[in-house]
Amino acid sequence: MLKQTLTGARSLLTGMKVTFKNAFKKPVTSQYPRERIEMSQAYRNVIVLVEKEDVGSHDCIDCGMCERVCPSFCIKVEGERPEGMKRKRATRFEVDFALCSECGLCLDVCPTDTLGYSREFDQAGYGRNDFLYDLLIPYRDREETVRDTLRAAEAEAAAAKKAAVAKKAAAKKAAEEKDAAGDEAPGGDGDDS
Amino acid sequence: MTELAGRVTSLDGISAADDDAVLANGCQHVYHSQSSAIRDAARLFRDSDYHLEHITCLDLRSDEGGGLRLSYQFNVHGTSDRHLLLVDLAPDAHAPTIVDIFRGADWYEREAFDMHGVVIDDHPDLRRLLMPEDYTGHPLLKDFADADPERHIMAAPMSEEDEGDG
Amino acid sequence: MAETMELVPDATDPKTYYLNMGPQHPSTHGVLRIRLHLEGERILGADPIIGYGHRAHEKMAENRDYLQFLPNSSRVDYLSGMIYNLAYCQAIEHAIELDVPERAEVIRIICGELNRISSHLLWLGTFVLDLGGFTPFLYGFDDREKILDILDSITGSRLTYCYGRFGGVTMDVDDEFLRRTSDFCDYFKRRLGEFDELVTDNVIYQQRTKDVGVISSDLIQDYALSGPVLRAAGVAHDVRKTEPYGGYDRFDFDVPVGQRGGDCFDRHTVRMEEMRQSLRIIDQALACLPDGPIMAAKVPKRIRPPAGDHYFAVESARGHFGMFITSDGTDIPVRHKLRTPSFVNVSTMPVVLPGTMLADTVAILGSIDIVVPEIDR
Ligand code: SF4
Ligand code: SF4
Repeated sequence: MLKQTLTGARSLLTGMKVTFKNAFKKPVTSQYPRERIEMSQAYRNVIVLVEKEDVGSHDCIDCGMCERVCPSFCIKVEGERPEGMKRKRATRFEVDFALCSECGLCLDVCPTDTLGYSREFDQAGYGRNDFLYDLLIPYRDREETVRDTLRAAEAEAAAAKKAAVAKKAAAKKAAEEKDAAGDEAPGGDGDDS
Repeated sequence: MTELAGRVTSLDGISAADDDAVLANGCQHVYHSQSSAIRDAARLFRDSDYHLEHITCLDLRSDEGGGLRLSYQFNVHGTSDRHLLLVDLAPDAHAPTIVDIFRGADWYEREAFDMHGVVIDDHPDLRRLLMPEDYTGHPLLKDFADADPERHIMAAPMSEEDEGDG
Repeated sequence: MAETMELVPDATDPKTYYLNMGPQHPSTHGVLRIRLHLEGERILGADPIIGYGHRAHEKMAENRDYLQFLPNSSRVDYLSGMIYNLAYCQAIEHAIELDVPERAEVIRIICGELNRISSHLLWLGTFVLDLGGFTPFLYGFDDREKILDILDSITGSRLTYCYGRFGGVTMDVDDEFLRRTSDFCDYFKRRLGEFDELVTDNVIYQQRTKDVGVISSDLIQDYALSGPVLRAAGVAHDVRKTEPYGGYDRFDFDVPVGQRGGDCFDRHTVRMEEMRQSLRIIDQALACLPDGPIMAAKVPKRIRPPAGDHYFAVESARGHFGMFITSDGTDIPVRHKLRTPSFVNVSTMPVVLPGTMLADTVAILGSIDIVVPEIDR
């Protein structure tokens, strides 16, 4: 009986010792919203279209890969091929964040690497339809200028290529007629994507 | 072939599966078995200190001549020596219980009944396991009619209507 | 089973009654319901009724390709999601015979063991909470939060990680991660001592757990128990040892076993020791983390395991987690069975619970560390 009381008392005191030691530690909680903790680099939230420097806008070419791979079927992409351009541009990009599982598969498959995660963290809503995101909003107003630059860049690239091909053909078939080389060049250009 | 495998194959209705014809990655021994032989095999494994790792039901009816198949997997503690018993069931989908041999088979058999509609003969308490008691249908059958099949087809493009309600 | 058959209501015996424990009972850790047949406080029969958290993962797997099942894997068990997520990757790599770079393997082991510790910590906290101790719960969650922060820094998620990919992992670890991990290991070694003082040596705790809920060796073979429940009963079986997967054979660790025949206290000591062993593994892994790529160079675009059955098992925080994947050679599996340890452990309840007192039910359920979504899948 006495032994039992003593063991009990000892175990109680040991426990108290541990709690006592911990009682003087700095609190581990942070007082949101007055304090904020640092967000990790890998933070995942709703996907966004990332601005690409060489394009000056997003670089979604409406390939539909992300739409197809998404396990939650929450991406919807539509696009068009603008006048005089080879590259397609997305005209609609919607994500239903309420369905997204933040798996990152869409980021993995994107051929132009234009998808990323947003750094939002405080979304709230009253229903599951409140999380439909239109990812093109930040890019809509400058889309026309972007297309113009892209078109110009493409034309330039095509011209450069044409010139290169023409040069090569000319060098190779120097003996042939000049107009024959001119005919060939557009044909060699056409099967490029 | 180990001694145990030899004893299993010597049972009536069980034959070792041809290594080239049946791939069972991760299992050391594979057998084809008739459903009447399951209990004998289970008793043999039980006496050899093996345990039942899982019973899995498969719906292979879309294959030619296929039906429901139960896979019994036995293993032993300490090392790893997996024996996989493939039991192709007759179209009436009846299988004998092994609950009295391995008590752990109870829930697996109930699951096979619940999800695939396999009727386990002589099971003492064959109720649904995961679905509600008043549920009809067996969800893991391939022809299980879902209320909205559209959402289940892989990579189905979202239609306008989908978006409206989802 | 005979035990469940006892539950047929017996109107002639007014002394016994039925009690539903759950599905919204705090100590069932989720939506598990147990129908108890009681005589006073003594349990005559128990019938776990599961399925409240059934999300049809197995059906989902049959309706999407292998890659698309990836985010599901960690949701099978949200408390050790990393282990499940990586296990699925390893299962597919095993099936299509894809080799993983060494660096990715070691990173996976570090993350998996961190996740195991966090899962055990949550178990410790909530288990002691069930038995009436509030302090260890807060301490446990504090330490667990440190692990979640570390994992968050490379995965971007707190619980349902989708970090693994077929052939590697998504993000490389940086020096910051390694420093934080080794700091945590040093800190946590000391901290475990505090937990021992606070919990293991506590007299009340010992009285609530010793000789309670014995899951002894005669149930082992019947039910194919695994994990800490099995080891507490005295069988030194660990999938990481018996079939070393993902490079575990490179590391040196012990498999703790219980000394008292498999009661709740045994399961406690086994888990405490497992955390120490996990720390040991992490220490070794940090010391030998090789340089190199984190993704295999040639990952097939379309994942098509050869037709046949593929079984792959790992040791999760709760025990033997196996995946039985039947492929017909196409992109979509014919069947993807998840053999989960909690399912097995809970299925022993009709045998273990009868004869115990109602208050011990909480201790027994807590000590087998159930995660309900994992039971239901
Ligand atoms: S992160 Fe995953 S679920 Fe979310 S949109 Fe991308 S692919 Fe779909
Ligand atoms: S994968 Fe990339 S480029 Fe293709 S549609 Fe999606 S966002 Fe656009």
